[in-house]
Amino acid sequence: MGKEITVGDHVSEESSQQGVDADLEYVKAAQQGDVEAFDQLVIKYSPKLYGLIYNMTSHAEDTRDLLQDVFAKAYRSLPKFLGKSSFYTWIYSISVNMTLNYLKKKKRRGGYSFDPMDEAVLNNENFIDASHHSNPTKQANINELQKKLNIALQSLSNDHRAVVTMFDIQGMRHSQIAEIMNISEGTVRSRLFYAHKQMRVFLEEFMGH
Amino acid sequence: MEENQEHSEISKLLQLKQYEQPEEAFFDDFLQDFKARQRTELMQVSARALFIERLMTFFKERNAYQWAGVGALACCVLGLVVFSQSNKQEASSAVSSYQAPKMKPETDAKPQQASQDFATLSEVQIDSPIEELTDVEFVFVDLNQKFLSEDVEF
Repeated sequence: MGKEITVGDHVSEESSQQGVDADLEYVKAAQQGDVEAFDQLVIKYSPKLYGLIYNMTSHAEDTRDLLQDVFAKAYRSLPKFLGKSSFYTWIYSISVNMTLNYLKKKKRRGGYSFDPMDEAVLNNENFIDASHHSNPTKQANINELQKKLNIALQSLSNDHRAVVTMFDIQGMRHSQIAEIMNISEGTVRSRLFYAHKQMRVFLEEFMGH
Repeated sequence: MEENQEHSEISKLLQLKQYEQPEEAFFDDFLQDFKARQRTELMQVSARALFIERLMTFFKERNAYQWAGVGALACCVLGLVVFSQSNKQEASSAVSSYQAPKMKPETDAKPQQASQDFATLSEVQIDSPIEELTDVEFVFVDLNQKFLSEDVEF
């Protein structure tokens, strides 16, 4: 499976609807005991959920374990899935709740571990802009930006980090986040506003203003 | 306006976090690990859980949940009928075997009973410590009021 990095892409309504229908087919088959059908859902959602959990925990090894737990729980709970929400929303809710519980338990234990930043970032225009603001005369320093981004994310509360991860990093809509976290859209917007305000302090040198 | 632009810039920077990714083979290995874990979990399922699961599948496949419900209801009704029948039998046999006790005339019985009750009460008052007299009801009477209302002369 190759890496697919699509920065800032919001999936169109039509293709999103097609995805939902395909998911439902897989879910129905898996509910009737088709293990291969559930495998398809694992293949489809593991990169997205990895990103969600990784950015919420800032710990690569723990993310791998948690992701296993999420799919195991989803598989066990599959008979209870009635299709009232999309499978996408359902499995994201499971992931967010399990990660928040993990973070509560982890509170006393510190430590982070990060995946390396792919070198394709060098060609991203946002990165070129950011590195120009930070140091126009030198080649952009990936490690420095990665470090600052992670410090900024870690400065947030777990709930705020969850919202920032889904909106800013994963490009999800306010309404989707609200449904997943069982909060109002207003709360999502307000959390984003305060989170950005807080992170500004750490990211100032990469910004134009 | 400037604030909006700041938020947008922060968003753009955060999007770069998408480039933090595990090594390429990770997601292939992940599926294999997940399947292995599923197999292990399946092996650990108890025999009882397996029996229940198979029973549920049996009913589900035959759409027999409603028949199971009807069966359970029939058992309940049958149980109630049997229970009420046995109660009736017990009652009728009790009536037939009942012999009325021979009573002495009331005039003889009453004073004797009263004297026995008094003897028992006086024994309790003498022998038992006050903590044990849990059934005794204490009635406090306002003596002043009683005397005033009954016009008692001192």
